[in-house]
Amino acid sequence: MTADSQRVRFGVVGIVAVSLFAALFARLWFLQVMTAPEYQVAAENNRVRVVQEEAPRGRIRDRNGRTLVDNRRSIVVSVDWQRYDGLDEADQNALLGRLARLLSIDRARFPSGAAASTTSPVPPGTPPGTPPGTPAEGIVDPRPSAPEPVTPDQLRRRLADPRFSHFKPVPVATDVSEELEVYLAEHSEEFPTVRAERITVRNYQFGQLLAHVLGTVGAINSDEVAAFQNKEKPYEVDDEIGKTGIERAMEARLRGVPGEVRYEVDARNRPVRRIGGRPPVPGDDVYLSIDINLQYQVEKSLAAQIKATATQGDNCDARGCFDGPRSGSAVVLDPRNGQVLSMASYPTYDPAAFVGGISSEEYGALVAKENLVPAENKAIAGQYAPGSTWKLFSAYSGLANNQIRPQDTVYDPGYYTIPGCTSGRCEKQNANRLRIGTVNLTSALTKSSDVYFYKLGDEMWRRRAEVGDDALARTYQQWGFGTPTGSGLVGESDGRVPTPAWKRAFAKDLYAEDPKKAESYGGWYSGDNMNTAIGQGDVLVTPLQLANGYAAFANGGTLYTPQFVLQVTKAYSGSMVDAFAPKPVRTIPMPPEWRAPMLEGFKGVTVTGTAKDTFAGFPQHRMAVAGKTGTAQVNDKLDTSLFAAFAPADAPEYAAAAILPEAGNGGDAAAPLIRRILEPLAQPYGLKGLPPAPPGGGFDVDAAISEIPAPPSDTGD
Amino acid sequence: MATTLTAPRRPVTNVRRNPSAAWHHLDVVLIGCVVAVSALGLLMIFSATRGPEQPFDYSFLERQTTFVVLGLGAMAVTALFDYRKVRDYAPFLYGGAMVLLVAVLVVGSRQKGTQGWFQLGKFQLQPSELAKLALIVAFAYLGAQFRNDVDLRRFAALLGLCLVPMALVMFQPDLGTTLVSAAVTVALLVVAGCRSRHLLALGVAGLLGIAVILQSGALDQYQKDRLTTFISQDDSRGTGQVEEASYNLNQSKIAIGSGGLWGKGLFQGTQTRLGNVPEQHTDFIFTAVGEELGLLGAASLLALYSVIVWRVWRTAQLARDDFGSLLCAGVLAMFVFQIFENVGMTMGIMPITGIPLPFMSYGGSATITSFMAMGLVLNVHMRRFT
Repeated sequence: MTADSQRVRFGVVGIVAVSLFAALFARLWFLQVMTAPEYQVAAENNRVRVVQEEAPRGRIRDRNGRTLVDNRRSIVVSVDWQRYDGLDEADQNALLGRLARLLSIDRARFPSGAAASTTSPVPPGTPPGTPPGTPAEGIVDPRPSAPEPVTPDQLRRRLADPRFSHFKPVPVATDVSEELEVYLAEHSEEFPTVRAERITVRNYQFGQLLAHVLGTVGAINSDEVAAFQNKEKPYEVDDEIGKTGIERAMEARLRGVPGEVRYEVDARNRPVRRIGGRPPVPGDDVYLSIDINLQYQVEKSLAAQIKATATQGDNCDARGCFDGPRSGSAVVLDPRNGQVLSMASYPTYDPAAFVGGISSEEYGALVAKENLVPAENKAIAGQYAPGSTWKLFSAYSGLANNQIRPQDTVYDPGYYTIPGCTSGRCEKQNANRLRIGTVNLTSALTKSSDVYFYKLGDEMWRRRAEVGDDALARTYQQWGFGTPTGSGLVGESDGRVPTPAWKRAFAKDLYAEDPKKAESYGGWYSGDNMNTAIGQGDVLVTPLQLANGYAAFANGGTLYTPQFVLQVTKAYSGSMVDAFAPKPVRTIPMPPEWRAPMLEGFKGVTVTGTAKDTFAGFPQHRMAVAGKTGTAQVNDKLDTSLFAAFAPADAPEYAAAAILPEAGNGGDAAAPLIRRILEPLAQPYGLKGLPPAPPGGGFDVDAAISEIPAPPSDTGD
Repeated sequence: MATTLTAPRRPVTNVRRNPSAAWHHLDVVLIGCVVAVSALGLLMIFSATRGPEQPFDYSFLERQTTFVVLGLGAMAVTALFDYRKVRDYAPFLYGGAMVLLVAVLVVGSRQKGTQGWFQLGKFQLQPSELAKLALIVAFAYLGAQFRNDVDLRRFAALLGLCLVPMALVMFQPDLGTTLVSAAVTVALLVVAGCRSRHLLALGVAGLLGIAVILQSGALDQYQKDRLTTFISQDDSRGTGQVEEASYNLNQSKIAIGSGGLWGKGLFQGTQTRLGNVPEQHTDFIFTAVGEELGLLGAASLLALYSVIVWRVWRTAQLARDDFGSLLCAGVLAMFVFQIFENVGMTMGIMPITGIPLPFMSYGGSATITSFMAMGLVLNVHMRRFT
């Protein structure tokens, strides 16, 4: 080895070594100096996980501050579907068998609701869940009654139910006992994939009372995630969101600000320590205009009236006999400001069924036609022909269009012949062709003379060149019909105010293939105007629209937007966040010379008119009731029974409407129902003197029927 | 006024009686650097293994301390025996190492898919580490005899000498150690005076061989993935093993990059403390340095390594004979390649293979082997006048 060549070789080795070290240093410089900031961000993201902590929803209270809905903790047993699906079939069957047995034992030991009361309430200071009273009839309670054992098949169906996302644990039992929770935790190897966890759920202090207005909450779906983006109160995938009713309408207020816990996590995402965050802020409390005591009276009376009419009435007319009423709704407003004091829809349901997730089967029962869709709020979604209750608005239209004058009289022989009529049916008659005699505006309302209003409708049509072919319709729209009232509840129906233009379009749509037929059915004739004037034909109203229209008349012509929410307050401090003032929609001109004779007519209804028998013995001296019966004819069904009223007649504090389909005459069902509702209010202390609604809200329908002796029903319309 | 005192210029003692005595020529700089790196290694291993919070895990620190102490002992022993006596035993050392390599394939224990350890009670012995040293000694033994006159036959002999342990290690399979051996072989062949055309032919054959190996399926998919991840490291579409490999690399780069100029402070590295970098106390120990001590610490470590490499390089030239020179060259190649490959892979410029960082990575066999290699260099250095 020569010295020279050796030096060269070592030189080569040295240069290689130096360049390798230089490369390392260059790379180190690049990573730690030039690109360090982005790696620092990456390291921070690696380190911290933010876990959202759901905030308790705000409470819902009635106008007097009684808590209607708050929160409680519930223990829910759920099955991790992904892992469950990974088991082989024998293991699945064995697991479900064991679980079903365990749940059955737990249910037998802690029957319905009792287990719930063992769970701790949610602060601040809310009383524990009150066991519901006897559920009233007509409450569709989809939950199996208490001690019925759980079968493995039920669990299997529940797990296969498409309502439950398979990416989250599927809840199979709600409100299990703490003992079961402990047992499952201790025997986790026997129950793979099964876990019990504590969740915060809605607690309905008054059971099924006010269910439709309160509404339900459920897991947010992807559409809602997009629609309810809320920077202050962000939603996560399985967060709860109001689905219907006030829960939905006031979602932005009721929802709390989710808390955040920032954890430092290790490489396997296991939290190592808490490094900060902020506590959840409970949602705001919402005070409703509803009076829960009145609500109790209304729901009890509605259920009792429907049952009484169905079982005790004869439910027969000229066409034959029918089953009688199976559904109905009633609304009570404060005409002075449009506040909704009570709103009831029958049949109803128990919102607690939604707690912890509702299965397809259970939900299906709540929206089934054969059950009359218990989930639907018929007071805002139901659309019915208003019948003679409509005459208030027709009379106003006649006055406003100079068609009638209060003092003008009309002779009502029981039928009306259309002058100059040459073809078709030229005669229209009162119910049962009843001869009423000479009537003016006041007595036409009291005695419900159809002929008076036939004539009004007919003559308005004849003057259409002068007043317009939609003169009636314009008046009805002025009173809020044909559009949702804007109360804020989802699912409000429009109702329908027919006009010649509407009828043409409707027929064209209906007989799209047959233009000739569309032409003939789409025509608007005198008869259409006459039918519309007495609230038949194509007119449709919702109970809330009807009550609101009567409230507007009662207060002297101010149409309000029905109001459900009085104020919003902070959860702990109770300090006011927002107070909602009455919202007038418009003022309807109402000169005293129009209003006085009409009011006289409505006052007469309960004294000498179509509801005089119903209101016999009613303390009119304390609270005079002005109202109007309605009997709307429906094809192939018993008539719809309606009554709309306000009281006290001269200084109205309540405006109410009740609509009971398939219940017969207005005097048969709706008027007695309104009497049942108003009777306690006529007592000295009015709303404040009502008997308190029992916790749980349950009542006995049969007892309720006998509470107020069934008044003799009027035959009048 | 200060009085100027003149001291007698005589030694106080007469220990320097024999100026060429071996222990007068101990390479203190090298020892100092090795000890410094080992100490830093202990600290970083503790940081990487102590866990995120109290009570801390001291077990790795304790064991590595044991290894370092054993290693220092082994270094001393290796340095004390005259390396020229080692030359006499070179065939036996080489033969013994080969026997161990064969034995580990038969009775060794398997870990992470590699059959490369003997379980000795609490400790594990990795014969491939020792085989690297045996390879260097045997090559130096043979290469020194050829005296700078390496014809094709001798070249083949030297190459064959290296290929046997490499093949045996490849059977385990332990790709990292094989690559180190390959680097050592190439460096030694260059230093031993092999002819350029032979080296060129070897280079071509090597490239062909790599292509054939990658194509033939002799490597498991995970090994290929790990090797090729660094080429497509920003491509996050991979699945399975590729994803895992790129996860390692990503976390490693995040750790080093987030350290910045000054580092996050000892025990303050989040990537390190929370265990985000897999294998951090072994192959990825450099990431702990990068994250917690920053560019300052990492560059200092590289500087210490540079000094070590420089001292080894210097010793190789100062060596009294070709045997010593080749020994040092082999150790030099081994260290440079291990450092470059290990640090390079944590920064994404080299493929990921299981190669420990000398004196830093946790592990008994590798630590002791590194110390013994240093012992050999010290040995050559201090006996350069005798």
